[in-house]
Amino acid sequence: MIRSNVIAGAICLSIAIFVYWLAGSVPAMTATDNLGGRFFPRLIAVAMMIASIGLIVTGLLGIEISGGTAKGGAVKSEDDETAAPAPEDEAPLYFGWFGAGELRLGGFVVVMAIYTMILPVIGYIPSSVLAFAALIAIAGEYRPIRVALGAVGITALLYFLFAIVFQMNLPGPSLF
Amino acid sequence: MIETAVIAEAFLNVLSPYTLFFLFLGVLIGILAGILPGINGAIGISLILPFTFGMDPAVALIMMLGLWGGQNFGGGVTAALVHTPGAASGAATLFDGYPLAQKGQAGKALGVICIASSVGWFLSTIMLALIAVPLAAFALRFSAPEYFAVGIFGLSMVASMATKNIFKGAIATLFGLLIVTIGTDPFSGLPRFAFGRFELMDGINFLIVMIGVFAIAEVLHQAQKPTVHEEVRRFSRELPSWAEVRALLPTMVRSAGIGMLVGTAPGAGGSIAAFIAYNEAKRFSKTPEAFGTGALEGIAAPEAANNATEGGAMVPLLALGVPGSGAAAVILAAMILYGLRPGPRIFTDEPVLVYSLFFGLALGAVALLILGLLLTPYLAMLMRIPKPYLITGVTGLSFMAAMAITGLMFDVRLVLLFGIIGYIMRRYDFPPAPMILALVLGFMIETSMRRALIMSDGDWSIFVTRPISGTILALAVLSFLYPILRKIVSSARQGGA
Repeated sequence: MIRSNVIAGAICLSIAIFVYWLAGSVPAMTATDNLGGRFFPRLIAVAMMIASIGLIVTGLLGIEISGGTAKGGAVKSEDDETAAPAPEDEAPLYFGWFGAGELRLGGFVVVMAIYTMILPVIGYIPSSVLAFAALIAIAGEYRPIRVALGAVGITALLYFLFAIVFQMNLPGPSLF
Repeated sequence: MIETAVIAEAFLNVLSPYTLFFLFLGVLIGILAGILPGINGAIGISLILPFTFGMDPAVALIMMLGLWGGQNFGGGVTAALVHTPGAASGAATLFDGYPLAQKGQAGKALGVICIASSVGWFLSTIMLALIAVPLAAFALRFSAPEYFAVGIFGLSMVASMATKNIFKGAIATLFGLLIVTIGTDPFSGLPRFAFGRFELMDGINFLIVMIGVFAIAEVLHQAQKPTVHEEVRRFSRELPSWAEVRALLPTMVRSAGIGMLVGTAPGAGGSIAAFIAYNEAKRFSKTPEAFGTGALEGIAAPEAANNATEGGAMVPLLALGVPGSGAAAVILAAMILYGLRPGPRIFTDEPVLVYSLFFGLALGAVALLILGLLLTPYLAMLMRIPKPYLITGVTGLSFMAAMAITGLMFDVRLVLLFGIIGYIMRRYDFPPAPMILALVLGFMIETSMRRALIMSDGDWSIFVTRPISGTILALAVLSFLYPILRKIVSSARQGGA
């Protein structure tokens, strides 16, 4: 059994059933056509249910059906990483359930989410300097002066590109 | 008949200093994008798109095509120098590029990569012009059922070709089609899945999704990976001799043909073409045993092929309005943003633009040759940019690009949401490219399907009784079922043996 495929298939099946149900709120028939706006999403939802069941069944049977050119490793897909592993600078670290990589990933998502929230509140420059400094530090640069210079530099470069060269209105502070 | 005046006007447009400047700039940015890890053509084009809004569409598209070609070349540069392809299309180049560089002949390796890339790109442009024009003339017969069939064919190819699991490819495609249904029903004008939010009434802009699933997902992927330091050594500036280049010409021409053919098929990208061309070059070589040790043919073949896929991918994009890859999807999205309608009619409605793109592509190959040979040794130093600054810069650029596209903070948050979705998809082997292509083609598929059914008074047989539509749909079903049939046949053979 390929457990990840079975779980992914079950999640996709749930999404498809939810979409099918949700499409019930869309008018079924209009003056211009008999199918109405709900038909297409429901068609897609049914197709997605079939594909999800296919993923669950093949996952339960332990089968992985690769695409036309992705077989056997002779030909690689766009997403494949062919490079030989490069030497790592850090030893694997674990903090409870999570490894260092997961913590960095979580840190990035949290900082990005906070950034999108504070951007319209305190404005582009302060929010960007703070968020970029946090991201640089999370990504592995711990020297404070370099973190500060990097954050200010990236903020300034983007400001120059978007606000000065392309005359775009960057978010201003609404708090003050 | 194509008027000579149209061709002359297009040629003069491309030769204007303004267009040439942006063409060279596009190629330069593309080389940088190819060298920088994790930035592929689709990401690069998505991120420069907001900067092109005020430009003439032909100039903006030529710049994007230049970026695409430059990126294919840049991926090979890092493959040869640090054994890490900056873009997937450069993966096959490391087999011989890296050993040659290790022998102290990095300059020669980069020279062959540059020349082969330019030759592949140039030849594919010629083939593009030769194939796309008659194909578009044939496609002028298409009506709603045929457009529906072409859209389904494009999606089935992409969903089933380069995926590790075809069910995941299908689910990713269908997920993209579901995103298209958010907004307003195109026939009744009534809201559909808008959840009462005015930001969703016009649907979700596919560029927002692209920036999320390509750029932000890549940032998250890079953030999770451990930091590595690539060692970039100083290298020789020795270029290949004329005799060596001349000996490589048959390999380059053959590989460009392979790249062109592979690029034409939706779903098969530059990396696939490069691997096939590498294998073929080895098969045709008089010295196959030299492959893997720094053979020039082993460098020229994948590079000519991966750059030729660009011209190949432009065939269905221009002639049918069907993009064959992530980068082609962004180009298509850009064309729609500029008010153009890719498909056969563009050849009659905008002939100057189409021929400008042909000339722009051809000159792009020349620009790559000049910039590649002159600047590559200096540009390669960019690989020294530490990852924390690089991924933070891409994050900022992605959010600001989203802001520039719609001006809505809601869309900046959507970029993050789709970034997380893209990361999860990538982690669990759901390919993002089919989802993006479905997003771009979804509107055409739904409207063509419903229009065809209105034409036939609800009779579904219209899709299979019309010869062109029926044939294309049959091919679509076959292309999707082929991996399943292959698996069944191979299991039966193993069982019988």
